[in-house]
Amino acid sequence: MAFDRSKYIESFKAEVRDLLQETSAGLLQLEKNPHDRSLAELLMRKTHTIKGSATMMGYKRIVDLAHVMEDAFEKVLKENLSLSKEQVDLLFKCLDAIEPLLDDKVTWSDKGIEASSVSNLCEEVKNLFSHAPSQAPQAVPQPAQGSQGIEKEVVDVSQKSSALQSAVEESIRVDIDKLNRLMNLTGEMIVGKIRLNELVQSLNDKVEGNKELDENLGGLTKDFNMIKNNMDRLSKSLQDEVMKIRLVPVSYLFNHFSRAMRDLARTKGKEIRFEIHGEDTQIDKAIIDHMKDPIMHLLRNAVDHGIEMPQARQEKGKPIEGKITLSAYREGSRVVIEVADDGHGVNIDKVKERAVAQGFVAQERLSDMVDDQIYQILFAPGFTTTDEVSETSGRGVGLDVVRDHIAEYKGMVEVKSKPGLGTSFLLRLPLTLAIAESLLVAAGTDIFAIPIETVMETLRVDPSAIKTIETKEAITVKGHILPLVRLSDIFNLPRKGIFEKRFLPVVVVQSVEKRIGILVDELIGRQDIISKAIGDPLKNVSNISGATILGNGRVILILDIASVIRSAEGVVIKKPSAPPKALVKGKKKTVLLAEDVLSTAMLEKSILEAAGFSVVIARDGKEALDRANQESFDLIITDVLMPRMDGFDFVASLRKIPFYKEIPVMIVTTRETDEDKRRGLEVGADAYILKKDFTSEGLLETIERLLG
Amino acid sequence: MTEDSKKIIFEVDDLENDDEISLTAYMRVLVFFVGQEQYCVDIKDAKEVIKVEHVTHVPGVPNFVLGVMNLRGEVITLCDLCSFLTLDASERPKELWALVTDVLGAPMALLVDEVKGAIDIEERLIQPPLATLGTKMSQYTRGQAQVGGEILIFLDLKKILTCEEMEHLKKG
Repeated sequence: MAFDRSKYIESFKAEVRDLLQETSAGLLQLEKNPHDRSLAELLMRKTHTIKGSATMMGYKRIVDLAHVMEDAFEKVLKENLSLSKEQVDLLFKCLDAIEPLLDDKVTWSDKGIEASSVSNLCEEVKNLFSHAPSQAPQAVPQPAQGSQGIEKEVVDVSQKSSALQSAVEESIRVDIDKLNRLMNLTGEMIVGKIRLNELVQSLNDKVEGNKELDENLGGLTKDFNMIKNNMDRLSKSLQDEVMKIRLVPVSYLFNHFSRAMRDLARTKGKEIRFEIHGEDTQIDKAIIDHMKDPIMHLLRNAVDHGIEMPQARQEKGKPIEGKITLSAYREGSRVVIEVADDGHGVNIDKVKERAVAQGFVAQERLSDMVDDQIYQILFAPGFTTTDEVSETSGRGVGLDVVRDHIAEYKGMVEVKSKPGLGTSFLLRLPLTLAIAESLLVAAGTDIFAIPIETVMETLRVDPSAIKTIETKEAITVKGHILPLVRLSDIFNLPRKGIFEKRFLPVVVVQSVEKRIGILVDELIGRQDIISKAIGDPLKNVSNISGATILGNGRVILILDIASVIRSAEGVVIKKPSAPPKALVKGKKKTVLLAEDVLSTAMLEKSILEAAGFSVVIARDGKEALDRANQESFDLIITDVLMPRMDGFDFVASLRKIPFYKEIPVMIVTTRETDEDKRRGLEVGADAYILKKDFTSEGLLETIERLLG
Repeated sequence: MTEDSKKIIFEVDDLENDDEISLTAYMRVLVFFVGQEQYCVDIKDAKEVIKVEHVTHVPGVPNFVLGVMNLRGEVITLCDLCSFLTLDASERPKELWALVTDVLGAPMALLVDEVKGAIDIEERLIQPPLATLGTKMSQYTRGQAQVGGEILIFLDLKKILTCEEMEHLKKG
């Protein structure tokens, strides 16, 4: 009788992936150490297990592949064979073929892949292992240097394989959602505990100095305090333990690379010894899962551009075999992953030269820059040294992608290099994404959290030091101009008596290269928060990256600094000193505002409403046109760049509607070419205002003129 | 009102004891008030009803989003059903209740005025939306049913929560 396999597919896939990785690691070791019978035995067992599981789940092609591999390993074991390079390559090819078979949904009936390629592969294995003369054990090529290191590695691995096995037996797979729920509940329990603490405290206050009451309660107060203290300890340990569940050893990812490095070195014709250190270092699975590409990029860079060709190394008197190390270690609350090579290092003079030539840095600034700052240029988007005919060519290509990727997981990249001795890239990552250290600030009546890694410093600014530069506010900090933005303006929040303060708190934040000062009403302090995603429909709301729940059970929002900086670059308007209230007489006039950037829309809306208009916001040209058809507006204000239908098309379509032939239309945009202005007036707009020249007075003046 | 709800529940009990129950198709719905009107939703769409205690305002979102709140450690969005139904929200009861639904997958909450409880209604009693309803409203309803002298408007939560404004918000 057929059983419902679908329930087990996910765990089957995960299990086979683990087995493939273990087999791959084992095969690498067997190649280096052909005499290790226990390794061949282990490999035979692993492939046998793959075969067994795949049989149960009906993945016939996988069964075939695993079967021939198992036979091959059995032969190695029984006949004491040493694997030739071709044989190893072929076995790796089989392993590679299994992985996609797992993901291919059609594989269920084995139709999706070219069946012939699998059977060919199986035939190849059979042939190579029955006919090919096996290499005599003594003929196994032993690398001239570094053999000691390899032997050491083998010891490590045989230990690891037994450790691996016990780890498998003693662990179970848990759905990440279950883990998140467990964490949520732990958080809620702590909220409850805080309430309990408050109650116990108020009980203590009542009892203190009231002996009679204390006696009447018969020691109850003491018991309560004991239970409270016990709960404090328990909940703290519980939270710590739950956090730890998310952590996995980096070996989980690192083991993937040994295989890739072997292939890379072979194709590049370089002799490379690849070492892994600190594979037991623990880190959040959600982070390490996404580090595969950046680490691979850095490793590839090290092979391509770091390590010299064997001959060049020999000339320099270095060991012919280059060394690339991938290591992980804890550093305070962070985990550092380091990719180091002993190649020729970054040529700092070349970087400087190129940086100036390509306009990344002004020549006169170079002398002020320390080496670390120079290395940071390597990460600038578009920076390249490829058109040079030098050994360093290619260094830096795509590093901006690596940095951005690391930044996404709240990490930083650092480069260290010594000419002639090598380069290392250090990825500093948080231990877990679940807990984020944040700065809590208040704006208006709301509290927000700012991720600490984006905070450069906090300042207290004298209001008179705030200058206005090109319609934007700014202050001068250590000789540099720092643009200022009020959180309450970005979010359109009520201001809370901010001008009465003698000093205003400013949080200096940075994202990528951009740095701004955020003016807040109050700095509350640093706090570890558990960041939580906000689900649909608010997942993509601008300026907010998530939320957290404070000890009192209240939700506060976490600022998305990159998006706040972008918003700050938009329209910044000084509030009208006295909104011209009586602008509109008689019936309230209605304005249709087509603007896709919500913060801009809200700002314009608030100005218009303050002037006595009633405002309807449409988020693109299409929506605006629909609204215009349904209602009769007295004035239309539109942006140009919008999704679905742009402002020009919207105005053009609008003018075709009889009612809107004479209704005033204004375009408010960042597009300042004459071509655009001409086009705007051509399609029928009455006024064209640039966002950069935008002031509330200017807007209202124009409206007054248009409405006559 | 209380009399009627008692009556409804009484009828339900009656029906459950009736042997002929299997002959008619019944649907269990959750009945609640928004303003003066009574509405209902398929009970399968309503995960739970919670008391709204603290709502955190989210800046820069449309009016129908009241903010986010804490549901046992999870941060969920609270929307105002009033705005979707274009009802006047000026008079609200002191105690606020929200209906938690997961029709979109992740849970979210909808503010309602008062929850009456669950009843079973005969599917054949559900009539198509009235022609007099506005176009927007008729899109959001699966019809209405007269139960015990009361008219229940049967809301389609999925339609409401996938309306154009909502989709726009989701895109950010």
